[in-house]
Amino acid sequence: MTAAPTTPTATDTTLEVENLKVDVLTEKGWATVVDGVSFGVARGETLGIVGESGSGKSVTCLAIAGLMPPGQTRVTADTLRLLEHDLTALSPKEMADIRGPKIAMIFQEPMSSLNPAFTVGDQIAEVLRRHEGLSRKESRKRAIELLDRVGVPSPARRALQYPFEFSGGMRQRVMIAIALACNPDVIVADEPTTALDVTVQAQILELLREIQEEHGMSVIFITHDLGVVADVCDRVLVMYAGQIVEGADLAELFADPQHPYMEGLLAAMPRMDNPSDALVSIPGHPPRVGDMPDGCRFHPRCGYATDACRTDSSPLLERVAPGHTTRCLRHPELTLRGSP
Amino acid sequence: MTEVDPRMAAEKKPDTTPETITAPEAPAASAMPSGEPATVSAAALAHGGGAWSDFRRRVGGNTGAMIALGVLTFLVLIAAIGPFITPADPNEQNLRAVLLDPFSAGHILGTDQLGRDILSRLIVGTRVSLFAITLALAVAMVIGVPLGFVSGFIGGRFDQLVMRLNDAAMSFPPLLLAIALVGVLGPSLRNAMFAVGILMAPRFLRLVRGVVIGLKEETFVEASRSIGTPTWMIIIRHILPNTLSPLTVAIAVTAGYAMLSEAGLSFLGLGVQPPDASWGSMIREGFLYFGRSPWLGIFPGVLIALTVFTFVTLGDGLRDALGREERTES
Amino acid sequence: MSEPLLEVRDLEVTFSPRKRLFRERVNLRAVDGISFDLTEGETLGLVGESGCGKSTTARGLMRLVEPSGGSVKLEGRELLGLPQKELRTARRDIQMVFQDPYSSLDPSMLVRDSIGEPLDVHVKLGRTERVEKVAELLRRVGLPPEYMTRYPHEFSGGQRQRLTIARAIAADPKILVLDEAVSALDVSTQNQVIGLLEELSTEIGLTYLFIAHDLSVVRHISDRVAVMYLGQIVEHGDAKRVFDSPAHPYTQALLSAVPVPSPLTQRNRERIVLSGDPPDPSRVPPGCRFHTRCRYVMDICRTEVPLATPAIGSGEVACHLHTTGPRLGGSSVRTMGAGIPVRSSREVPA
Repeated sequence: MTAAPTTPTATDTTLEVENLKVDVLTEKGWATVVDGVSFGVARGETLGIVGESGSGKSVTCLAIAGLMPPGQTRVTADTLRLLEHDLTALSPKEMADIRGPKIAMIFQEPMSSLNPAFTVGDQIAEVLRRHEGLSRKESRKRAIELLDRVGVPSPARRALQYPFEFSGGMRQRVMIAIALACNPDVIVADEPTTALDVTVQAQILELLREIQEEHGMSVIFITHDLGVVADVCDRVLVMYAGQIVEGADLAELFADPQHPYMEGLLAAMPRMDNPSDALVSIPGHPPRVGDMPDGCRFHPRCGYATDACRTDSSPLLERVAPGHTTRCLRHPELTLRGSP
Repeated sequence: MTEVDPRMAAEKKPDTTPETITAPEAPAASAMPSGEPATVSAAALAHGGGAWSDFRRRVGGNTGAMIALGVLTFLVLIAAIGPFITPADPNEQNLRAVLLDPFSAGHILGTDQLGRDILSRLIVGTRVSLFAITLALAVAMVIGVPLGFVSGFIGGRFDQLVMRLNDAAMSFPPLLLAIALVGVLGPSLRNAMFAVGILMAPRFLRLVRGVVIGLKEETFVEASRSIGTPTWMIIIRHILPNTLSPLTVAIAVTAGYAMLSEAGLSFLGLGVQPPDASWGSMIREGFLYFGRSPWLGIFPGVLIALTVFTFVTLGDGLRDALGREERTES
Repeated sequence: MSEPLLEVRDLEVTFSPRKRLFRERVNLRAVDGISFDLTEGETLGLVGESGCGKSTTARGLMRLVEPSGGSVKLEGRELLGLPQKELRTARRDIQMVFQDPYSSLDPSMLVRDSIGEPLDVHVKLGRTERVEKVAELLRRVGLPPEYMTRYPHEFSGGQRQRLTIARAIAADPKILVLDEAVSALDVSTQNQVIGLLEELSTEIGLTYLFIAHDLSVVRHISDRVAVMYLGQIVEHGDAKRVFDSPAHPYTQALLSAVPVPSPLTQRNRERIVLSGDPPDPSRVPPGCRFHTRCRYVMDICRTEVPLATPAIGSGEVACHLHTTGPRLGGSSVRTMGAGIPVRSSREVPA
């Protein structure tokens, strides 16, 4: 991956986002929750988006998939391109036609994403009938194949069961089967393993990896767990308070972080392999929506902040190395600690 | 409503509204000035706290509920002083001035088929109607609330028995049962509303039982048990206050139904007896003259509709204001 | 060795679902014979996956659910079977913090009254004293005393967890049972709360039973660790020993499944991916409960229940490999290849 996160130059970019802004209607009026996010995803690449809750990582992906409720939210972007489709120009109905065959989502809580009133097989088959125009019989057969592919044991029998008869891990497999049904070009996985136990998480991550190798689709992986990022991602964007603050290839980001927030996140992760270190935490907590600090948004929590960080306008995302960007005024002078 | 607002604003003072909370998470205990003496702000001592001030704080911000509350206050006022402000004796007949149009001399809303002043009858009818609602609600709550509370709290066989009886009571067609009850007890407003109250009791029973069962499962109740808090204290501190909000909402909504039932029963001649006026009985009397003097039915009808609307708005507003407060995790 | 503060022996918690038409009544033994000690001032980590019974253990020893057997002794005093009234006073010494910081505070109560509840029950202070004590508690957990006149919904998750900790320590307990107390929080907030807990344990000598599914956190805070699988403890011992050389195949798999936030380490370590889900607790497999997912499974595992045997280093392990498995140089072969390269050298025990 040589593409810089902000200006993807790779020719085979499946998804391109430029200057994405999302506003939501709160009690106090419109507030910006995603502020000028730009990135591209190459075919076959796994792009990680990390950040604490409320950083805007999920909203970014919901907005791209056209899943933000209209009326209470406003989504604008200079470019929002998925393959040959300009997503900004699509009607909600056209967007719905694209969701499935081109872009598919996997959510954190599989139970609420599945309809409790239909069998698991029917739910997969319905997607196939809607988007692929398969017959009833063909779609059933294909649904069983898909369940088999995602590692659901005795798929023919399990296809006739209802979601409540599945464990959390098995439900997430079903969600992956639904996402895979139409062979999408981009899969967006929003904290797909957060609700699962570690041993089950390991299974699901393994499955996602295999499937990606098989189909070569792009995966956007949203998570707060840097361990999971280290496990599955090729390239990573770090989000804070609605902005991308750093983006780089996985190894480089962990070995040589260029933004104090990323350094803080790395230091805060409790380590199984190196437990002697005392737990470090980033002081304070992220700013509230609609109440962003002046200057760099991270400055109230940043140990390296100077007056310039507090008063100057929000720093821009700068390129520090090929494919590595950071939104920090002081990055040339700082040497930050990583975790290769 | 302006007469309520200042009080509300004054009550809000010691409390801090959610918007003003911006204090960041303190980094750690050690970050606090350690040598600080134990000074406690006066507000901490003075603040009454509890469910009631919480209620006022939260409802005060809801415009719809506040307007409805104002209208209701106005109605109660009319009911209280009604007999003293009527322009004429509401029961005085004047057969030479029957069915006068509105805006006639001396009768601003006209007269009915017996020449009685409609405005005066509407005013005294307010008291009858509100009394009817209060009676019905009181009966319903006296039966429904304690039974629902005990049923939900104890659970088990007692709960099952109560709920089966409740289902049986709810499966009767309400108006029919009311008519039957009034038939047994004799037609009078009191009996009619007693019947309506009995019919509404299952609503409260069901609601309170559901709320109590839900609360029993809440972690804060379990936490309270783990502290070692005696059961009676858990009921007083945690269960009762949290039953209050949904109950208030139910009262407001049910009041609207009670109003309609009163009108319905009075319309059928089973409620208030002539010559006394209630809004429902006025519609019944005006019904016969609807072709010639439609306002006889329209005026009380509009009042009933407005009052029901007020109650429903109040109920909705309360529901919004008292619903589970939003989680403020950022 | 001093007398343990809390002594749990063969604790059993059984749930019997209500009898239903056409459905067999299956007793679900969520906790099946758990024993452990808590010594004053130490932190015992209790780990396991969801449904393994770790939370039920906590609720059982607090008697929030009634255990169906065993014994729980607090400073030598038996808690099970204690009448409600005496239990209430005993509860003063052992308090609990729950997972969900949102539902564990009464939304209709001021912070002052929530935190003051244990004081009202156990201490009974005058009005001014009570307010001062609450102020002191708030300061102790790192919150300004002015917060006492606010409502829970005005606080963030981390702040609420501080409030529940303040409530738990209000009546000066000896033991704090922390049931997934930091699991719902963001990493940074989680570390702050853990910092607070560590501070409290050194300052007022609290003893913790720390229940969590996040092994990295448990490793940091615990002195000793017990690993649960399907209602039983499969392995326990000093935290360092359990994490550095796990003796039970389940512990190994569990540890190897935790992703390490370092691409180099994470991508080059040996991983044990368990197949399948944990079995249904109402249909426990015969023999060793883990045999359906164990990669070292032997014939004996399917029929014989393994007994707890001393593990090399410290603690005990319940696994046939340690008694009847193949041996190499006098010790069980499975001690090798635990999965995580640890910086401290982990020699094969002689």
